[in-house]
Amino acid sequence: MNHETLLEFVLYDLQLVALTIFVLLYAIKIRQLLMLPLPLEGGAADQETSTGRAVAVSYASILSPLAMESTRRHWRRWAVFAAYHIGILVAITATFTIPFTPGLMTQSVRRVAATAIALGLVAGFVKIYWRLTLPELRSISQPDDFFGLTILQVWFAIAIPAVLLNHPGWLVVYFVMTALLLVYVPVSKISHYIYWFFSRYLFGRRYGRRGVL
Amino acid sequence: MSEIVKRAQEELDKRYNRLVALNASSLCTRCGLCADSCHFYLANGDPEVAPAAKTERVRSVYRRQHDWLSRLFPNFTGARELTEDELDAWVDIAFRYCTMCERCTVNCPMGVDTPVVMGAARGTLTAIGKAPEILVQLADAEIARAESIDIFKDMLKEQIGFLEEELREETGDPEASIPMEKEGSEILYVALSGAHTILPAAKIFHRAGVDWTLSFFEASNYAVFLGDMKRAKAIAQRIIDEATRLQVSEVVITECGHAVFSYRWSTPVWFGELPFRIRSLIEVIHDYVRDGRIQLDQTANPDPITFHDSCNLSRKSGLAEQPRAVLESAAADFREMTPNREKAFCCGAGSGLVAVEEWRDTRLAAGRPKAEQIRNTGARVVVTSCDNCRHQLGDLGEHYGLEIEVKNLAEVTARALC
Amino acid sequence: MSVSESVEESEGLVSDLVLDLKGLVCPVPVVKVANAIKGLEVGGVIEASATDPGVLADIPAWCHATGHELLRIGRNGREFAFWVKRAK
Repeated sequence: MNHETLLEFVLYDLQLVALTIFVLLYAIKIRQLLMLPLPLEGGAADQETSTGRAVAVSYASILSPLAMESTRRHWRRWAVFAAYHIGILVAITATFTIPFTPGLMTQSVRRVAATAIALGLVAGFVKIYWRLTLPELRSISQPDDFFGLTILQVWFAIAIPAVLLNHPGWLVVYFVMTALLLVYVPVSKISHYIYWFFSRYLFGRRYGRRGVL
Repeated sequence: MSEIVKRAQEELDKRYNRLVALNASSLCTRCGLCADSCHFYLANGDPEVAPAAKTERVRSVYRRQHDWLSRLFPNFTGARELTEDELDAWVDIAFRYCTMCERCTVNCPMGVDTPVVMGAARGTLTAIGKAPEILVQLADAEIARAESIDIFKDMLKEQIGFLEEELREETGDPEASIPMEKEGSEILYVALSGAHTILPAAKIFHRAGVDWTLSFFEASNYAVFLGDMKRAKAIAQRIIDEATRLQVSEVVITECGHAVFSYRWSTPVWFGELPFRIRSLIEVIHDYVRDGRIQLDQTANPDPITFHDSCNLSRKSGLAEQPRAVLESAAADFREMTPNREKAFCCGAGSGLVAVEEWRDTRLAAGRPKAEQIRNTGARVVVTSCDNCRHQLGDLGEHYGLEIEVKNLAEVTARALC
Repeated sequence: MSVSESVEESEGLVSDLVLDLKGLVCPVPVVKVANAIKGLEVGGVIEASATDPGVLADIPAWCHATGHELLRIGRNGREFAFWVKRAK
């Protein structure tokens, strides 16, 4: 297999296989969750409330660090969280734009993307440092927390030159690493973001119905 | 695996519904942001009592059973086998160091519902006989009242007779009464055993000219604290049956946080649609003031007054504005604590903790953030609409030298009646 | 069961422990009695006085639920007194 064929394979076939496994694993996990009975909630507040609005407020809380005492007080942690997740979002988006909309990946777009991923990498180091040093974080940290952080650091570190330079060698490593992550993420605690959608919905619905939000 | 651990595992599995599964999943990112939203953590700085650490103890056991990776590599994910030592540790985690106040939930970016996980732990511990004995006894006493109502009826009527004498003295109306078993009344009022939950409400009903009757039963439901929903339903059944028998239009629950919470949100699930509505006394007083059915004189309560939000009422039931509106009319100098409403601190003794004498020191320490809040207002009177909070705040006043008097909303309102 | 008109009627009962529950409201009197009774031998008697009439309902119900024996409960003006014997 020559370099070009290899690159084509990892950019398209490998990603497709990995994405299929990713979707299948999530489908099974979500099905398992939805098969369980959901305890009913009864009653509704007397005052007029909008459950839909409360659900929207619940989802929007992720973007409003000032709304929650915890994120307001620990704004640095929220800022690091934001930088880290923006880095992830950009690195994932790049795995689609590079093979499918290469025209979009101009030099300036590559620079901006690489910078966002680099900030994610820095945020990752801060997260590891906090997990090792803050007592309330250290006491609840498990090996898979450090493993998850570490592999994402490696992924970020590979993504930066791959996105910036568009060099076939870096791209192969980047896409192979992405494929491995796609398979690992659904079975690991990194899958928290999927549950977030369910949790925030239920939170909004509950507090909306009771007239709290 | 010992017999008790096996039974505990079965009980945990029984409680593994969608909500428990969601909150026992990797939803919690173990970010630790919840730590200082918890009064127990603030009290002693022990990371083991931070909400994520407490729920993680229970979650790790569920993970061992249900999470793919944890079944293969438990050490890697920190998944645990259930043991009897672990169950003993859960008694502290679920009953002693968590008041199910949901303050961590509203401060969690992921929305992890800690009481859902703790409720599963509490229910499991109760089922295997490890729940605090006094909570079990109090729940059993509530059921005993219903099972042997004929034995207690006379005692209750005598008790109410004493209070009726006081009501007549205080209202100056020789006809004033505390009716019981009055069919077709507008309201069935469900109080607690304490006179402070009966007399002030009776005065308010008397002044508003309401057709009401007092329940034979108390509003509290200790089985809710035990996470024992079967017993909780049996306790609630007493009131539902009584209201149905008396054909009242409305059941009014006294100022008791967990009672209002469970009657408002759980009874519709347990009993379906009912021929009467269920409200809290707070809402009823609010409406009487708003509609001019009672007039209040602010000068009757001249001392600086602050309001403590019960978690069950404000954060969990959305009843934050009504008591404030009443206090604005009933008190001359109302001051807010900060933070308040759904963001308020727990008193430190909710969900039955106040009843466990052996853990008194724990709850007094956990009440420190609340004590500091009260001190900062300079208030001499703290009003709260939950009897559990009332006890705790009284104890905090003594313990932290706050020089406060603790009252419920009905007491302050009754005092201000024109 | 009914309330004795006067606590003096309970003369002759020997108590092993006396509790002052005056000023306390439900469920604290029950909690205090439940806690104290654990320190007595089976057959030991607690004598308690309280001011909240809630004890008239709570204490008999608690005894009924736990099996402890309520020997007597009485009223003297605005005070209530009761005697509970540890049964098990």
